[in-house]
Amino acid sequence: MSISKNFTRAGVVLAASALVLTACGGNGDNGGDAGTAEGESAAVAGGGTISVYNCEPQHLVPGNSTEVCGSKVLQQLFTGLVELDYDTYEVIPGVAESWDTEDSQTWTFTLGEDWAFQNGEEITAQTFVDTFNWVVNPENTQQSANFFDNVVGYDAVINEETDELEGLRAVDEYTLEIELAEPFAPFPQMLTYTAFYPMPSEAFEDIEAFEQAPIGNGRYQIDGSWEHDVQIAADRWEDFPGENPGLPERIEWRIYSDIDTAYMDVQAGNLDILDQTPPNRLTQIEADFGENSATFDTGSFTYLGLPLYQEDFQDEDVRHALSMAIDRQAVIDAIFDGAQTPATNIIPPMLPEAQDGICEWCEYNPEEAADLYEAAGGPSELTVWFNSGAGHDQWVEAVANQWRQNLGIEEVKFESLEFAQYLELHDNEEITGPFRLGWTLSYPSAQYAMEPIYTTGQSSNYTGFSNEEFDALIEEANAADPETSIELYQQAEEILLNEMPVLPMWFSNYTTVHSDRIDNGSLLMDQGTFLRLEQIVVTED
Amino acid sequence: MTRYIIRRLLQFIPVILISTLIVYALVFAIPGDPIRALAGDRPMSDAVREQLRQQYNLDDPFFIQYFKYIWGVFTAADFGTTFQGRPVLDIIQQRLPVTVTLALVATAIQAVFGVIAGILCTIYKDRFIDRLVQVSTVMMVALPIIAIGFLLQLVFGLNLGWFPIAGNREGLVSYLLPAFTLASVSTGIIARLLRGELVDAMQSDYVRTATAKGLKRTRVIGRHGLRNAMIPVVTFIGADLASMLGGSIVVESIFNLPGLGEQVYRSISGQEGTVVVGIVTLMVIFFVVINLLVDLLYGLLDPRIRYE
Amino acid sequence: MSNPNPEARTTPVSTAATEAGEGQKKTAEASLLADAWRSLRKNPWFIISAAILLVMLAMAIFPQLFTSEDPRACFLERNRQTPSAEHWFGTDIQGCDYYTRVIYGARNSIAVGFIVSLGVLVISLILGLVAGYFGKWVDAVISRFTDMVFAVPYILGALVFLNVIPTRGVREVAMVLIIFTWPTMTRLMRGSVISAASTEYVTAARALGAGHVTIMRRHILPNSLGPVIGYATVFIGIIIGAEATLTYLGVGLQLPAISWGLQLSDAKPYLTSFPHLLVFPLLFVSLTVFAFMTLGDAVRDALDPKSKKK
Repeated sequence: MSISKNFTRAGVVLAASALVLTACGGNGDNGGDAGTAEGESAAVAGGGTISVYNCEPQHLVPGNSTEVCGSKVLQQLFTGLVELDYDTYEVIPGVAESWDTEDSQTWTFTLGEDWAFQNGEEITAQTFVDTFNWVVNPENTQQSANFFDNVVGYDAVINEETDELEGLRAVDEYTLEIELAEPFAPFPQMLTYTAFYPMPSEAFEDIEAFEQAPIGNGRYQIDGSWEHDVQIAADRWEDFPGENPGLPERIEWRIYSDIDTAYMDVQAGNLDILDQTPPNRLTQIEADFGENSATFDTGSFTYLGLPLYQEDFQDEDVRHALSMAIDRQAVIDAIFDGAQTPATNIIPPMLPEAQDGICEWCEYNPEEAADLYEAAGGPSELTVWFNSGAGHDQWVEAVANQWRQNLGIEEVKFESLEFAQYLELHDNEEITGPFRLGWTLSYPSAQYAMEPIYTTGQSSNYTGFSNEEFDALIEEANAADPETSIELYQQAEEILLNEMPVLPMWFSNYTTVHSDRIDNGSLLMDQGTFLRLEQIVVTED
Repeated sequence: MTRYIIRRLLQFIPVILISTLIVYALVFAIPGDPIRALAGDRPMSDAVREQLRQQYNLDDPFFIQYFKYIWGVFTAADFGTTFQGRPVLDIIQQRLPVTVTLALVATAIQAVFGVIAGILCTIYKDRFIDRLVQVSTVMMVALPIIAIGFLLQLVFGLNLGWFPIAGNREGLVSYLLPAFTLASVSTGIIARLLRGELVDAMQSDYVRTATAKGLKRTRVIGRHGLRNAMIPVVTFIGADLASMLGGSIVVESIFNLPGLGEQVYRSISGQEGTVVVGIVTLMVIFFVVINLLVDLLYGLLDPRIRYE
Repeated sequence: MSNPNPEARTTPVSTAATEAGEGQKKTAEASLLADAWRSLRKNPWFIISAAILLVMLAMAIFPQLFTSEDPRACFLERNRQTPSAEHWFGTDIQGCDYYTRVIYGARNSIAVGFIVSLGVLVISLILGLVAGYFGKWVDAVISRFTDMVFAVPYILGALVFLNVIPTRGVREVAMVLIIFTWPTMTRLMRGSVISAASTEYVTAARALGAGHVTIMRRHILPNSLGPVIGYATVFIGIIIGAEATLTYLGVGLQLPAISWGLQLSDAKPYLTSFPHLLVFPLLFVSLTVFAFMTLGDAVRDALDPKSKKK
């Protein structure tokens, strides 16, 4: 008896201290409301602080960041030559005020004269020349170096014959000229990518020190240094020379290893924003967050590729049948609670080049699929490949079940592997069946949605697809003026949807959840799945 | 006694060398190029890849790689870096306190609760409390650690709000839920082990004699029974404490604790041999030291055991 | 004293029993077993646990007896339904009948738990006995070897091994778990043996000139089995859980296999929204583990000469 009494008392004490804590929080809130008595959605004075979910970045050097965790932060710390208007996906000025080209091959950028880094170092044309040369130099092992492979002189630098790109020229202090080996119309779009941000000369002296506390020229300035696995904090840079400075006064990226934990922290009010709700939580968002959530279409594309180097998949009828036997919407509803948009195209729907209703074989049609599959003599056993530990198991299994039921396939096996091993099997062409891969647009261009994955011999072309007509169309489109290029990219896309080297599955929808402090209307996510933090309005302190 | 300890300490050297070799070999044996996987779906250029492979000695044969690693450790105290360029020592320094705190809190929890439950079971042998404790320890063992973690998070973190759901920003309080999760299985095992041993001990003659002399039952259990029954329990707690340092992988990731277990898992997936070896070596050292202490404790608990 | 005849060898056991005031006559091995069986039959916990285990084993061997549905008949349009008359346990994420899936899951989970526990038990009995009995350098070698393996977290070993193996079935997963989980039980066994080896009757048997094997088999093994048997039954439960953890980490049993571990790891994210997905496999796992543990306890009590009830 006495034991249970003690337990009760302990419980009361705990509960009481919890009450005290909440009471304190409540007082703080009241004070804040009194300050901005006008309206609930009014922004707090100064912009307020937001805490945002993040994963531990691999790197915080622009040329070396190839994943979202690092890029999320770098986008706020740096500004490139150009920026994007996230409503229209048009390129707008960044450090460069204007740019010009005659032939899509030689590009001239006129830089703004009042740009500087957060340490006071001025930004000139030479800054970009130095940065780009440094990124490409193999000694510096920057993972994004090959984004520069179209710049004249790239091979010479890679082979360590020289350490300066021939195609880069600082014509005068504020004029930068870049000469490309091949005409490339989407070049300005490409320049919006993280790899093309400028870096101060301090960085080249000690890149390791720089990475722990990057000095940028962006809307935010890092506060202190990168606390590994804990957080990265940045204050708004009040001397930002560009347009549209950031709204929140301070951004704190809290680093989580488990996304479910982050979800519960937002729910408990310990974290303001989680940009990507895990699929298993989607059914309860309504109950957990009410109006404090927002769903965005993104350009993040998921597909099932087919190894065209295997005889089984060389017949296009087999590929069409496999595609028609998948009820994409049913899989999306059942596994993702509707949070994907079925793909009927290769170019993400948000881009100006996107087209509608051109995928004959993306419609669910089990009868026709079965007939086609049987007539074409499709394999009676399939092995589906995917990388493990990344949440693909459920939907891959669902698709496999549909194939079994709709195509009369006797057995479907699964191979899930660590990513490194998975990629190695791809390189060695040892994949024996449909495989999962994805593609996210680093910059918003139809070219980037297709050229790296489907042109002959490209590094991300895992299906082994090779089509002369397609290759020619892409090449032509890259060289054409913007108007004509749209049409050419669209023709190229139609070839892909007819030949079907990959079965388009869906474009991801990201659902963001947030605390009461955030104005829902100010949230916006771009094509690369980045929430535009600089635009967020905080309504409570 | 001193000679015994010195001999045991000398035996540690081959243990540490060989187990690091095993670990290094295991990580080396994972197929696939870790550098290739760094860049994701869009591969990096061959030039960069070559350079990175060279930087991390990945093109060397296995024994050369291992030798270079050991050489670095002994000549320059250089434990290598992650593929992100962070020194392994930094990581260990940052994460070790987290894991040690978690393990100690969990050990305390399982020792206290396990022993109390075990004693209760013996006092009330075959009565309701005994069965209740037994059934609930079975349940704790049978519930997978993942489920326990989430249940605790939901009930005590979210619904009741007594403890932080995750992270270690709030100091020791934030370690309670993860420690309970980590300790749950072992608490049940300790309770059962102790019950078994105590029940045996209660039937030995000296305990019977003590009872016959008219000592109170609880005093008999405490003075005579426990002392003998503790040997397997202490062995288990010791072994478990050592393995906890490595076995906290799941708990640390559920509760978002930036400890060593979480790092090891991440480094295995990323095939960062040096990180894995660095952390595992540390665990081996802990392990052997704790086991030595356990063996010494035997002597205190059971004077019949002599160290030769 | 110097005449190690068969009777002399058995005396210590009976001496211990006589000292405890419970054995009245010299017991030969056969009657010991018969005694054990007699006391087991009277133990209600033994009956209950044996019954549960029989049902579980039947489920593992003949799942068709319990359900007529095909576990692979899955339809997305009926996914994640809560329990109903039609689907007793509801349906899972893929839209399969969950009752059928749980029944069919018994085989792999029990197989893994059983094979691993048995393998580990054999290894630790032998190594623990030898190390604890002989001590000195034998103990040092075995103990340090145990340390080495124990120092490698089993998840690390499993991640690597199972990644290298092209297909991961019950056999592969069980083998890897055995390789990396035996040290705990071995240490436990060694501890008990050390304490059993320093008792008076062992000293007496040694003095009588009994052989090592005889002493180990007759005197030490029966007196040190207790904690190990206790742990071994619990261990089955741990292993069934470990199979789930490995699956969660992506290196456990592979789809399209059906196991409780796979079900638990699939259900984990839906803990709050669809608790039935977690509850049913959990119930079966718990029941199985409970049965193994209770059975182990009962057998242990019956076998241990000291704890025989009046």
